[in-house]
This record gives sequence, C-alpha cells and structure tokens, in this order.
Amino acid sequence: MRDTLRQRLGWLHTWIGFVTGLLLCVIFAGGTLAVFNTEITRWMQPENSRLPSGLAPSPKALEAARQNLETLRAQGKQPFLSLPSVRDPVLRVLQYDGHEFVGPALDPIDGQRINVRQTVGGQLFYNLHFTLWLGRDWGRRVVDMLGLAMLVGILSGIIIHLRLLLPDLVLFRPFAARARAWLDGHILAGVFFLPFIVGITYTGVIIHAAAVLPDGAAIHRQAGPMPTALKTPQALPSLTPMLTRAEAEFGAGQIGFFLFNPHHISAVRADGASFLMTRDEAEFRYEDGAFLRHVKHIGATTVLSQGFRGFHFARWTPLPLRWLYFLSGLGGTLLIASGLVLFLMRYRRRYGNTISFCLAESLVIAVLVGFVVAALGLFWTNRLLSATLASRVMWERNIFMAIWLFSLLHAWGLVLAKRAMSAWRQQLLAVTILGMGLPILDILTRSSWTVLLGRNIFCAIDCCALVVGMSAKAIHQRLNAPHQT
Amino acid sequence: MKEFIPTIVLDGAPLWAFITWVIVLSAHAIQQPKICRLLGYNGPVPSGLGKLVLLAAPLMSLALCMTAGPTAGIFYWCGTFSLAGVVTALGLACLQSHR
Amino acid sequence: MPDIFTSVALHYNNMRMSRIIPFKAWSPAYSRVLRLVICMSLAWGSGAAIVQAVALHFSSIGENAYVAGQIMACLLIPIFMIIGFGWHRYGLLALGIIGTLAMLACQLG
Repeated sequence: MRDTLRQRLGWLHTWIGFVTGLLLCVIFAGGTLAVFNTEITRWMQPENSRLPSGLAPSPKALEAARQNLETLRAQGKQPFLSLPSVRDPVLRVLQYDGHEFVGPALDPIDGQRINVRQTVGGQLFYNLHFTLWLGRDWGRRVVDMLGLAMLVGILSGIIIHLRLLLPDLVLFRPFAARARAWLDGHILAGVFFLPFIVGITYTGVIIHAAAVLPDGAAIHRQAGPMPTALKTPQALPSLTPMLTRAEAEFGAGQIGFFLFNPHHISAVRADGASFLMTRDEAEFRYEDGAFLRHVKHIGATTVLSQGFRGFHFARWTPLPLRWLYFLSGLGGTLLIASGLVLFLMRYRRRYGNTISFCLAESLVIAVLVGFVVAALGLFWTNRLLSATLASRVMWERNIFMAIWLFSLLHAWGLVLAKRAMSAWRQQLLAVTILGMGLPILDILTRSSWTVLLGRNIFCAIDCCALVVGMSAKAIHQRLNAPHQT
Repeated sequence: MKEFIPTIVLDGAPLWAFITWVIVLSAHAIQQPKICRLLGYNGPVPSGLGKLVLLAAPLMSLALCMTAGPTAGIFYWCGTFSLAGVVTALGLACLQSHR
Repeated sequence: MPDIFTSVALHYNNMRMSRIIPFKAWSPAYSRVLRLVICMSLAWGSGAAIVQAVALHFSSIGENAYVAGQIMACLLIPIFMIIGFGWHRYGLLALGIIGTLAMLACQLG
C-alpha cells in the first residue's frame, strides 16, 4: 500500500488525537463552563440572588471591606478586593487557599457580610481548565503541551479533509451507518467551529507559553528588597478616595480590583473594560493613600499579548457574545468527543478484547460521560450540603473528584466484564436523572424562587441542565435500540 | 451610517447575520451534487447573478455585525457563521430523514 | 523507496533481531512512533531556539522579545511537526536544518 501524505497525517491525527484528546476534552469542557464561571458561582450562592447588578460600592461598604482586609492582613494573609461588576454584584475580599480564591462577600450598599455559603463555584472549572489540578507549574506545562498537540491535530485534520472541505461543507448524515454519522459530526464541528477552535487554542498556548518555552522573566524581573509593608502589614488608608481617583484615570465603573502589593496599593483596570486585557494600574501610597502614578502597559508586543488574553478570557464580551463563546466551546468539546468515539469504533473489531482497548474505552466513558455526571453532581452537592458546613469548599471539591473517580471505576469494571454498552447506558442514565432533576432541586432549595423567574442565571443554568439531561436521555434511548447494541 | 439603518436591524444585528449565513450556506448546499442527491432536490440552483449575491451576502452580514463595534463585530460574524453552519446541516439532515 | 525508519524496520526483521530484543516484529507503527518522537523533539527544540534567537537579536525590548519569540514559536512548532512527519522523504532533514539554523541564530548573536 502506498504511504501517502493523507495516510501519514491520518495516523498522526488518530493517535495524537486520541492520546491527547482524553485530556483536551476535559480542558475544553472546563473552559466552556468557565465562560460562565462567575454566573455558576452566583448559582451556587443563592443567598445573594436578590442583589441587583451593576451597583457601585458605597463608601460605607468600602470601609467595611477595608476592615475585613486589615483583619486578614494582620493574620499574615494576602487578600485582595474584587469590586462589584455587572456579572458579580458583590464586593469580595478574596485570598488564594492553594486551590481556589475564597473569602467573604459584602453587600455593595451597606458593606454587611452577605451570609453566602462558601463554594468552589465556577472557579473549579476554571482551574481545571488551565492546570488540570496538577499544580500551577506542572499543570500549565502539561496543558500547554496539550494545546500544541491540539494545533498539530487541527492542522493535520485540515490537510486530510482539505479536498472535500467545500463540497461537504454542510453534509451531515445522522441516519447513515454509525461510523459515517459520527465522522460527519466530527467534521461538521471541526469545520464550522474552526475559527474559534484555532483562535482559542493558539491564544491559550501563547498565554502560558513561558511554561514550555524559554522565558525572559527570570532575567528581566529582579526582586527588590523586602519592604516594610510586607513584613509588618500597615493600616490601610481609606479606599473611597483611591477609587474615586482611579476612576478619574480609567472612567467610572472601570476598576476591577484593589491589589495590595509590597510597595504600593494598585487599583487595577477591570478585565471587562475593553477587548485588550491591559491590567493598567493606578498606584497609591500605603501611608496616606496618595496617588503615585498611572501605569500603562504599552508597546506592540504588549498590546498583542493583551489582545490574545482578551480573546481567550472573553471578559469584555456582551451577553450574546458570551453565549456564542459558550456554544463554540461546546462545539470544540463535541469535536474532540466525537473523535474519541470514532477511535473506539475504528479499533473495536480488531482489538476489542485487549486490556489496552478496555482501558481506552473506560477512560473515554469517564471523560465523556463521567465528567458530566461529576459536574452535575457538584451542582447537586452544592445545594444538598449544609450551607454552614465547615471546610465546605474542600467537601465540594472532594465529592466532585470522588464522583468522577467512581465513574472511571464503574466504567472500567463493566468494560472488563464485556459490558461496555451497559457502562455507557448507566452513566447516561445518571446524567439524565441529575440533569433533569436539577431545576427541581433549584426550586426546592432556593428561597423565593418565584420572584426570580425569568431571564436570570438560575433559569439559564437550570435550562442548560435540562437540555443536557434530555440529550443524555436521547442518546440513552438510541443505545437501547436493538440494532445499536 | 448607523442613522440610516432601521432600529430592528441594528438591535438584532447578530440575528440577521445568522439568518444571512443560513441562507448563504443553504444555497451553497443545493449547488453540491452529493447533497442534491441525498435530498432528492432537482430545483433551480443559483447561477450568474445569484452566485454574485451569495458571494456578497457574507460581506453584508459582516457589515451588519460591525454595527456592534469592530472587535465584537468580527466575533459575532465568525460565531454566527459557526452556529448557522450547524443549524443548516441539521436542517438538511432533517429533510433527508423526511425523504 | 522506504524512508529511513521503514528501512531500519525491514533490516531489523531480516536480521531476526527480535530474538535478541523482545519485539515480535518491527511494524511500521513502531517506526512511526519513533519518527513522531523525533519530530516532536526537533520541533520543540527549534521553537525554543527561535525564542532564544529572537530574544537575543531584539534584546533592546527586554522581556517582550521573549513574548514575541513565543508567539512565533507557538505558530511554528505545529507546522514543523507536520513538515517533519508528513513529508515522506525529506521531512526530518528539513526539520534538522531548521533546528540547526535556529541554533546558529542563537549562537551568532
């Protein structure tokens, strides 16, 4: 048989696609959910559902936040203050606990602590997306390498399909033979979401490129002497004049957060202020809160870099565009998922009885269905665990992991027992129950839910869960049909 | 330029762009022999001026999207293309199944 | 004409090396995996060398030179991989030359 370019690249696409696709699918799914990370966090904190969006923080609230910050700094912690925005209407005093940003939420009007439950929220998916929970350094390294592999997969896929790209542009035959239908679906997602998938993968790789390529930070950034502010935290000046002064620099409502650096206090421009994620700062003195300078990050490469970040993080996007990001992310996830299923279909007949194939199939089940079960399980856990439970964040995280691990073991056991279809069916059934039951759970566990019917995050997330549940039910039924088994 | 565009078009620019893409992609589909065969379609296919209009239509949808601003416009344009492609393919698949 | 890896594979099978090394046979898949690993190493090495070269030649812009190099390298590494793996006969040679040139550009700053 002739060894053609298409064959070679076909082999490369198949194997690189499968080996990296298992993790890439998780990264894409995590990223897709992370598009609405703030909204997911709000769903998981129904206690603050009554607050209107877009309120500016009052001086009283800022004073309360300052006191909270001082208390935490006195305990040797390094908190920062996130200001209210259209997406998240509360003041948050946050600190990094090694896994997530946690801390109290304050009412932007009177500064009273909102008695919200502590939750991992959407941050869990965000962290999973860019570190796979392998730690900041190794996680970014692995995810970046996977991103490069994704680009190789995309490029090889384009070359393989180039000849039929235009004639078969909208060709989809779901009622043809199963392998044909899946291949059509794979190509359809790949072709139509190509601009998004290439863009998001490339920008993602660039953002953390320093993790896998030579980095200039070590040479060009030199640490100064330890300032007094870090050794012994000083009293913080009033935040209101600083916010007013910073808004004079960047515009009203354009400040995202206050950072308390060793040398100075920074009021940082909000990420959602424009497409370019500039992170420009207004710097203030610790002693009296006097304005020091306006730090603008300029230069061609810097602006290019800011553009890549703006593209990838999508914090500037209006709501319809955010939904387009979400749907495109879903398209990317479906592309990888269909590729994984095609791999199994291709090798099932020849290698279906081998241990390595069993392992591959159980991993695919755990990634494609188990992840959805675990994600929906997290939403359920959030509402079923007591709101006042100690170490609630850890509980939620561990339960999510436990469900996912259980899904893997369940799949592994059934696949080894030559009952792979049962594994798919049972896990799809779990998705159906959890997904279709989530709106009911939301209604039962959220006070005054009738007030909040209509266009809001609760209804949106409930509807999404319902759609996921119904899709799982449809697939489950198709797998149950006699000719499919 | 925005003053000359009716409000209904301006407010729903991404939606109009989406509809334009669906029309363009459907017209592209019926020009492909394989798809015509699957659909059993023997009707007229765009030719001459029709093809020119089809080439111009994506530019029109780009112009529509640009009313949301240059950066957001490009994103809307690409996003509506992706979505319209999937919707068109699903629509054609439904037609196939009816046949 | 088979490429270098397939030649090695055929030679391996002819020499009955499998008696010494516990592989049943050297299939084309093994040669492809080996080629893939070499392509990955060369492509990544070339990318890293490009970043260093850009940083060296545009040192006046400081850390941003590294960022510019990374932007280029992330675009080029997948392309290098496709060239190295997809170009049947001269792909690896081309990748080797690219890598050598990038290394030279690093050294000749």
